[in-house]
Amino acid sequence: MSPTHDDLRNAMNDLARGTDPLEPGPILRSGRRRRAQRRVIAAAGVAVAVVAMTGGIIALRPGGNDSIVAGGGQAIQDLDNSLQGLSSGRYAFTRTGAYLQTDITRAEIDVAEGYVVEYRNKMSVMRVGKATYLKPSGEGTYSSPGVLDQIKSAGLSQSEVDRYAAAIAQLDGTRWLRTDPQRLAEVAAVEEQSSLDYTAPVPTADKPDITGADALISAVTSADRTGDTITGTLDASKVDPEQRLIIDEPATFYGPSATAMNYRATLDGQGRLASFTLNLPSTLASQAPDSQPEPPLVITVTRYDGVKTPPAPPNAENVTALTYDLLARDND
Amino acid sequence: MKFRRGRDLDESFTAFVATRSHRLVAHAELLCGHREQARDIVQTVLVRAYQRWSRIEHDDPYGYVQRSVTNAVTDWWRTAHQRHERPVDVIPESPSGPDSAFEDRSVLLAALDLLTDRERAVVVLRYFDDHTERDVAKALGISVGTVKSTCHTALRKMRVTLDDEVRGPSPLHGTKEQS
Repeated sequence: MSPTHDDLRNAMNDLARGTDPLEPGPILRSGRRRRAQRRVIAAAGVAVAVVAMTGGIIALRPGGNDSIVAGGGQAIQDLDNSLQGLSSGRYAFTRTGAYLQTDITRAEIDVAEGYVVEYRNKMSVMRVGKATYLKPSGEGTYSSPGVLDQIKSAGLSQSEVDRYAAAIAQLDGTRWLRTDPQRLAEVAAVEEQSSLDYTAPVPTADKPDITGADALISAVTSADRTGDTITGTLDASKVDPEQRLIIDEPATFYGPSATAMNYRATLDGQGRLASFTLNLPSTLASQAPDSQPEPPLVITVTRYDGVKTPPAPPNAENVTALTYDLLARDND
Repeated sequence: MKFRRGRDLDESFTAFVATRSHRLVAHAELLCGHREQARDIVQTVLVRAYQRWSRIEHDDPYGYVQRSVTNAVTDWWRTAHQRHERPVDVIPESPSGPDSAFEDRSVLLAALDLLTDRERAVVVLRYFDDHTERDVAKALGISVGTVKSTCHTALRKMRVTLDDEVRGPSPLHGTKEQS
């Protein structure tokens, strides 16, 4: 029976009526995450310029020096001073609960000699002398068993299939890869979902502190010190978004409490930062019935001047050009 | 207040996805012939649309997203051709009945699979989305005359296919032409 125009129209509309809608929640979250990443990239150049021109933390404090006086000047000054230990470039730290950063389970930093940063997803980044190494997480797009079969079925030549097989093997999470840090930064900047999007910046002589504590402390608006413990509030909307520690535009998510989040910092016997805990508000601007309180953002710092330089991993492989390409979208 | 504005935007976007995404997925599936691929494409387009939602939510958001989906599918065709992919080599046997030209979605999709990419896009935009010939021409970057002739050819192919099926269904081997 030949279809009329109406048959065709009706059949297509029947197909639409029988199609399930997409789940809005995951799409909204992906959209927010993508927007945050794009803003971070756009803001990065500006933020670097501001810090270079003004000399850092004081210039970024909300309200300038006025808030130091209003919020308890000596305690805030103590917080600022506590960052000097991190500025020396020798420390160990862990960090959990950052918004767009994978938890760091172990980091040993000696900017002059080298460093190792291990993430909860099993990814590790290491520098020994001038050589930088990456151990991928072994998870993500290219870890599924059928991925190579899909590539084979795309009609590629055998040599291309072999090239993909070698690159995918480099991502299996068991090997250290000798990498170019500049290429890793470029890979993370590609507008695709990469595991590298959620890693901390590498420590450098110009920016030895990668804990994120400076971004949080620069947003402190009040402080009260008792012994080696300092408590108070900070304005999350003033936390440098480049650090990706707190959700982008926090006021849209947390409402008015975004500007007065509670924190607790502890100092060691020499006044250096030992821990910083930011409690995220339990009441959101748009509270869903099933929302659960978020875990706090916790940074702990230990072993100032006592870290051990990591040894170079034996049998590290040179990363291939295709592996870099796959890393750019390995979390899609 | 700023946080109200952000929440309103999110609610507007969420409502749009909940109420209109099924039709966008259908649009993509009719174009590409693969339901999961269609869902992936629409999801990707919606994530990108969210970045501009404040600008498009009051100005035909469905039309905006639908155009983006059409572009994404045609891009996918181009790259699939560059990769020499042939998503459908053998079209599965399709049931047909005496009372309806399109017994179910598989018959419709099988008939669409015999069209070239351009023919398929013209048919979907004309009869699913009810676009005028001028709008279809603009969307696909072709002339109105080409839309008319392409649509005529496409419908003739579909009629022949469906008439053949009524006379005697048999496995249809894909002979998809490249546009």
